Amino acid sequence: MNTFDYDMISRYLDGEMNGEELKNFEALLQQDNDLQKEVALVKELNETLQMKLHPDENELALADTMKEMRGEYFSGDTAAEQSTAKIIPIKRSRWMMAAAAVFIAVVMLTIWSPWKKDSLYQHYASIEMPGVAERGVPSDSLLKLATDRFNEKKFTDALPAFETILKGDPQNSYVHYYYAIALLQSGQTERSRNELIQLVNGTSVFRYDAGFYVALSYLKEKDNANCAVWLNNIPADAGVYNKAQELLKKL
Amino acid sequence: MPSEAKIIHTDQRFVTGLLQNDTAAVKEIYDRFAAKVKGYIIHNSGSEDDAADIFQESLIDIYQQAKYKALQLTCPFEPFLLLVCKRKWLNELKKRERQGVTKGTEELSGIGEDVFALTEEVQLQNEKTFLFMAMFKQLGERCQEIIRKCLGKKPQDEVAEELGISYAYLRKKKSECTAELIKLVKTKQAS
Repeated sequence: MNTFDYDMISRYLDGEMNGEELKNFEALLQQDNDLQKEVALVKELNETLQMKLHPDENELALADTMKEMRGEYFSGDTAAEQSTAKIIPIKRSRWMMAAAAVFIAVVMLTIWSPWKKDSLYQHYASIEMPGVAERGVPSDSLLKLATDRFNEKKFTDALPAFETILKGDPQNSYVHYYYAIALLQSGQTERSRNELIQLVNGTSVFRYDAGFYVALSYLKEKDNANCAVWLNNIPADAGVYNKAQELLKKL
Repeated sequence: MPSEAKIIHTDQRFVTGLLQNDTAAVKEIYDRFAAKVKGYIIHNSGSEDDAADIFQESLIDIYQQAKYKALQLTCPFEPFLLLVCKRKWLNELKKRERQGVTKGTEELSGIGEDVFALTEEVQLQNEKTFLFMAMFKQLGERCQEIIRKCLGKKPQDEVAEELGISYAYLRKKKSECTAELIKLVKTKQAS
């Protein structure tokens, strides 16, 4: 099997090549049949994955339209099912009703979860930091320490490492964001909220996620009203929007 | 495909209707063709739910073929849609391992070569999509995340920031993950 330079192919397809490099690559492409095929394959792969992973808005709208029509044109149960429904003996149907009652009770208990107090907060607040090895930042042992502690859920132990990094690099929004979450998780809600609000007022990519955590900080204090206010402030184009809407419904 | 001039059938309006999510056109498609697909699938060991799914998925296939592969209808819409639905259902039956003799498979009237050719294209695309997605899911979680985010609408420098990595490192990882994915696809295709 031929090996190809996928970095070059990617940059060519993403339009990140120019000048001499682009000229050279195009010349190479002209002569090399295998390379042509490989570029075509990568292109097709990218296009197909994009289509599946990020369906365009029209497709989603069409799917919605069809969902609405589904009930009108397809009844959802077959003739066979309808006819068997009539001949279930009474004894069996009583038995099934009892089973159904037990099932419903179990489901209700699971949703209500009286033994899990903070479950909604915990469910939404838990998050992992991307591993340092994966991030390829060389010799950043302090960040590795913070990340490890964070992912082991030893949030209080993670704080000093975060603080040292931020002292040297106060603009690092990535570290700032996870630092604020560590504060929240270690019970320093007020301090966490201050840090989060700084992020919300900034321009980093974490600003909406930070807003979501401000909402969670109120949820943790059982202040559902303020939680809802912050959730409602998250705009529809933010990545965390769907999660915010989901939590709003559960409040 | 040969580049000779093609005569586009007037039923192309249905395809355009799907592309634009034109409710009236979609409704007309359901009005005219849903019952036929339902009849066929129920007749061939399917339920009404199966029929609804197959109908919906086939229309999405046609949408995608039109949107990304510039599908142009050179035949009437009806036999084309019905054949796409039938092929899809046969595939589903195969998956469920209940493949038996299907009744009334090709009893379509006025079916032309174009219908088969266009259906073939849709089916080929479906198979490719299925293969690519299956191999994508075999990648490690981190590679999946990187590829997914890089193919989204966000600028790459924002993706890098979100993942907490440098732009250069994101590019490097992305090409590594692509290489791995290509290798998986090729290995599968060769087997």
